[in-house]
Amino acid sequence: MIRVNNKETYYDKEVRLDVLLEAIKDEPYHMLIMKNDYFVVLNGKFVDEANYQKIVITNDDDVKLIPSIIGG
Amino acid sequence: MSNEKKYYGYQGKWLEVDLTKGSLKDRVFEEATLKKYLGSSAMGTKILCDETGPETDPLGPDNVIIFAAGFLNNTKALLGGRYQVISKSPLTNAFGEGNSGGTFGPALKRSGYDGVIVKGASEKPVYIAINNGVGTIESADGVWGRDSFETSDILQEKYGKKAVVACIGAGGENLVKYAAVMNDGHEARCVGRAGMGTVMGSKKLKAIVALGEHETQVMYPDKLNEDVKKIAKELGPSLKDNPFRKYGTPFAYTGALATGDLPIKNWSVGMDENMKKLTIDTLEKKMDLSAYFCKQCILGCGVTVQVTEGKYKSGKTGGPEYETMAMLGSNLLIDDIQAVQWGNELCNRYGIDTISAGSTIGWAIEAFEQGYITKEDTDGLELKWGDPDVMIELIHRIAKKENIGKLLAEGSAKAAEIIGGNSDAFAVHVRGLDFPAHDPRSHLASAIAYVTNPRGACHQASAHNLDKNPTGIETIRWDKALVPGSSEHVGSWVAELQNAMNMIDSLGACKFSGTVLGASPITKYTEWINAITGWELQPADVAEVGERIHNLKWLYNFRCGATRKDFKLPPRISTRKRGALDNAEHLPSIDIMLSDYFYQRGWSEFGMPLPETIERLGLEEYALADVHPGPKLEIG
Repeated sequence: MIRVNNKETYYDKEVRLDVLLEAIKDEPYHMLIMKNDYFVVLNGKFVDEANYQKIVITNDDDVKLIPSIIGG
Repeated sequence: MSNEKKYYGYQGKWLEVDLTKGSLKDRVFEEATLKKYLGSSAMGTKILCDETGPETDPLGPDNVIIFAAGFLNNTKALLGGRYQVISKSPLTNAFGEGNSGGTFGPALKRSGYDGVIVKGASEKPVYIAINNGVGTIESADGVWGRDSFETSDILQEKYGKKAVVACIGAGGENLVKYAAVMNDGHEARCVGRAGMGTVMGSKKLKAIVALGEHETQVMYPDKLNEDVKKIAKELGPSLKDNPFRKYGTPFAYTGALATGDLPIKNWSVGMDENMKKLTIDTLEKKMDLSAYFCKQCILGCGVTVQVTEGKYKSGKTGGPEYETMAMLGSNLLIDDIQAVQWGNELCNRYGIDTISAGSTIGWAIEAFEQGYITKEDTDGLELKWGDPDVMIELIHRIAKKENIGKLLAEGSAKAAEIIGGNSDAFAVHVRGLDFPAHDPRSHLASAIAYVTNPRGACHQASAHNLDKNPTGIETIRWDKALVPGSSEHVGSWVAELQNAMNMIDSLGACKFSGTVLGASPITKYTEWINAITGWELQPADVAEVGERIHNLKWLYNFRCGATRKDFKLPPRISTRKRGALDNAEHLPSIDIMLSDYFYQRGWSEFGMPLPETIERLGLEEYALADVHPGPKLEIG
């Protein structure tokens, strides 16, 4: 299954990143982060928001959503 | 026990302790003063400005150290459990303060006081106990010489589990210049920055113990309570299981690595593949994690950890924050997360700021590489990158001020000054306070934030990640759009965010309040201030208090000798490119941002508040009569 922030989503094959984000944004585990400013790190690399529609996520990918206001 | 005093929101008195005379007395402030200087950071700054000045030796008996409960402490206000410690900093010889969560702030208010003002110095080690409105000075026999965990255990055994202890370890006792004040024992909450623990040590003040049952009066409790319940209900399931609660601030590490925000090898390189080993994925494999909640918090980001096997096996204790993972980890090219946690625990037990420790050790390794420090200086210890044993050994030596530890206990700035040559070229600090783990070459806002934050390089007094308009923290008076990658308007944004952050500190609120309360924490906190006090403040009034606090801190710095030339970045950041990732070629355009910043603040070209700004903020009594502030800036 595709995992985001180390939690399984209900996608078990490939999905476009923007579709994935839209699908999980109201899930309790992700809600706190996604209701505020955040950015995406895919396999350790920062992803520009302009590219969300161009990227397809698979089971092997590591997707992290990082809040913009964090770090202490 | 109910509080019958007339104040709402405050307990109405401070405990003033003179350790030279061995005396204690209650000190009361007018409500008008408490409103003008609302909360811990505001009142603490005012007291510091009133009681000390340029001639004050930070480690002498004339320095004053103020422990101030946040305004929202001991109420139902969410995320309102933090407290502030303010003093003249021995690290920077200027304004200093630190902030911590845990349970000490609310305990201080429950003990019956809004804060403690400590003057003088004791001949022998002592601690202050405040028990239900009565303060005493007690001999520190039995705790002086103990680490911070042991000290808390011993004093809790004496006063009961409800007692909360704020104390120093060997770092403070031995006057390490970046000694911390630790609270809540093994949970290791920390007032880390600017040497507040050092000031305690100079006064032979080992600890403050706070306990009591004093309530804080609230004018409209139903209004506050219903709002808090409503928010908690709305957030509901999203609070129980989320990455903040699961991992704490180490969660930021992956983002920092990916965006070039992370310090690597004393800020000298942009990427090292081994540093990918320090992410939360490794954290949860290598140690047991559990959530920790500061008082009044519903987020629970203060992760507690336990390393259960191996060389660094230890008990359950406060885990590494992002800053520690970076400064004791990637900054030193150490990729062993368990070793980083052991370094963290040592710093907590000794009571030393992990940021300044990691920064100074990074400087020392580079100084060794460059030949400024030799094996003769280190008693045979070879200082090298990526070696946890070196990091751990140096922490011991710093805390005990043994051998090279004596030099490193001064902090990187002073150590470089002592060593001389070009060693200051890789001492990464602003005005003596070492950089926290966010790179201005990656996020422009950090550049302007670090040079303009009153205590030195500080990531908490503004928002450091301003690539686009963040919605986490509200500003009231500024809403122009930022252009990603551009310096335009960044200075102004930072100025307004500093006002908001000053206010959040003074309220005793958490910087993650925006995450939980949504995009408008200042507006929400204004509602709660009014519900608590019965005042009728507007958000702009609250933002103005934040602006007042910031200007007052800087007036103090100017009195202590700061000038325009101090608004600068260290050479490592201003001239050396990271060389990797998207920001490989970036260097911050500090002067463009400073011009914008000064104008937004109503400051002059010399970086000083103009007379009209001082008058608008009601700070005339603190104006610098003998210093010309400089010409007003025009924005064309």
